[in-house]
Amino acid sequence: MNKWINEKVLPNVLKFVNTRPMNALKNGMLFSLPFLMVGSIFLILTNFPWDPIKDFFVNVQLAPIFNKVYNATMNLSAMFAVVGIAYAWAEDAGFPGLPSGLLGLASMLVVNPDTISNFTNASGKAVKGVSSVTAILPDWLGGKGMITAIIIGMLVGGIYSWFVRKGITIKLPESVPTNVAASFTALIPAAVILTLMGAIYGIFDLGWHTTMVESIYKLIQTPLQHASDGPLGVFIVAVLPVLFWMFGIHGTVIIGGIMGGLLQANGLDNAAMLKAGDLSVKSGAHIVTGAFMDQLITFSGTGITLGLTIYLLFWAKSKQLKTIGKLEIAPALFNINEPLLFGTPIVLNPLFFIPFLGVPLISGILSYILIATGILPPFNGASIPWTTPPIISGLLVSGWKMAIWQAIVLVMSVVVYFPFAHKYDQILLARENGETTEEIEKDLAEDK
Amino acid sequence: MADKNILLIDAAGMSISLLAKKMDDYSKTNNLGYSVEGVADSAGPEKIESNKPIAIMIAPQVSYLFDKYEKEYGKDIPVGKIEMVSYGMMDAPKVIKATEDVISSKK
Repeated sequence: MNKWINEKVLPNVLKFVNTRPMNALKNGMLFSLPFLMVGSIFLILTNFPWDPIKDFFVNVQLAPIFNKVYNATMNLSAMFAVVGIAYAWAEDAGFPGLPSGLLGLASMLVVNPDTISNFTNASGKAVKGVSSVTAILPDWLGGKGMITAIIIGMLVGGIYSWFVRKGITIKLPESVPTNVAASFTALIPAAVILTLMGAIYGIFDLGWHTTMVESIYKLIQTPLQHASDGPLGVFIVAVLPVLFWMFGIHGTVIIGGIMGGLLQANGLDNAAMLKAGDLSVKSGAHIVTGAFMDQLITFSGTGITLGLTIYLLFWAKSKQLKTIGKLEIAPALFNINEPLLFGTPIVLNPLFFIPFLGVPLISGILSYILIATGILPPFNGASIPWTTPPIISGLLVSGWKMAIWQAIVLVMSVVVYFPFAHKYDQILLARENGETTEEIEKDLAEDK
Repeated sequence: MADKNILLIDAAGMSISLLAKKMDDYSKTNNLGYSVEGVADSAGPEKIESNKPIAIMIAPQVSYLFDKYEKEYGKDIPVGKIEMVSYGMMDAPKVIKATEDVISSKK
């Protein structure tokens, strides 16, 4: 079984993970992170969980300013995504990324709606003569445009790179300065891509009186978001990263990369609800967001290994585990646990499969139930660095109840890892004392 | 002469920086003449451009990146994998030794 996974399954999965589209998606989405994080700060400030401070910001007229920053960052997340993905694709293919990224932005705007119709005046009557107004609408450049942004970003990155690789670009004589010549490189791909986007816009507009981004939102993104927000989503974020890590592969980055767009869209929906003043599961808030994965599944490291670290630090007797405990405790506070995973090791160590898989799964299922039943509030949609220490992170992405819940999960982690860590420590200790494998097995059998 | 750079690659640039720091310190105290830096895969190509490393070592959790780096840079720069347990134990001397082995085997 192990051999089959190692030789047949993993290489194929990793080949898929290492393809250009996956690289572009993973690296491209990273570019939007700083904007989401800074936007989150302003989101939390305007909707401060303590009313006196919240009212203060409103009274001194700061709230609208904070909102402005939120609108230009979190509310435009799909715009950052499309630029990032088209850019990352071209860079990965070995070409300058900026022209591709800008082309992605232009393409996104072409397939987006740009008219607000049925304009009404203050008295609510339609304004005569003005039936529509042209604008760039943030509605579809935020979370709701995420899947379209991913599709457009990959499409543009792919087509652009293809043209440049095939050399189908305008070449100027060598006497022309390089900078001038470079600006012409994007001309032919841009003409082709933007014509294509124009055609897509035209087909959706003339055929169905809608736009690509609205159709994709309705037909693809909404069902996907719905699926990611249920038991299937919990299974994917709680079980798959751990399964990868059991074989020593960074599953969190892989699953995070694939699910990132959807989890982000879920979180942004929640952020919009918080801003509108009604964030609750009853009114449609999502449960499984990026924060669900970062702050309830992989906090203190993949596998919620703080419990194991505490055992190694305070109770371990073998030299190897003591050393790892001291190495791991500081990184663990920032949710990094590679020393533990490789040093203990947990990787490829069947003894730890049960707690390593079990603790995040228990946390995932219980957290889902607690949020769904309203005992814990849903996540507010704020994006914080995944290295934010536990408890503090819970406070920021939801509130004090979530911080307490994180503490409870950590205690659970100590309890579940304890017996396994104890047994493993005994084995290592015996080995360090020079006992043979048979003697160790005999001791363990007597221990029972 | 400036120290010869060894570049370590992982997924997020976090845990790798712990090991890089240990290796860097170890090299300094023992006058080995290496400077060691650890970065995320996404920052890899840029760092290779600027650091001109004498070797690139890939962390075990992203060993699937080995082929990519080997294909891209293997001709000019030796590329190796860091072994799991020495990564976990943050065993600087062992990883430096492994790096030297990779360099001499590619010569």
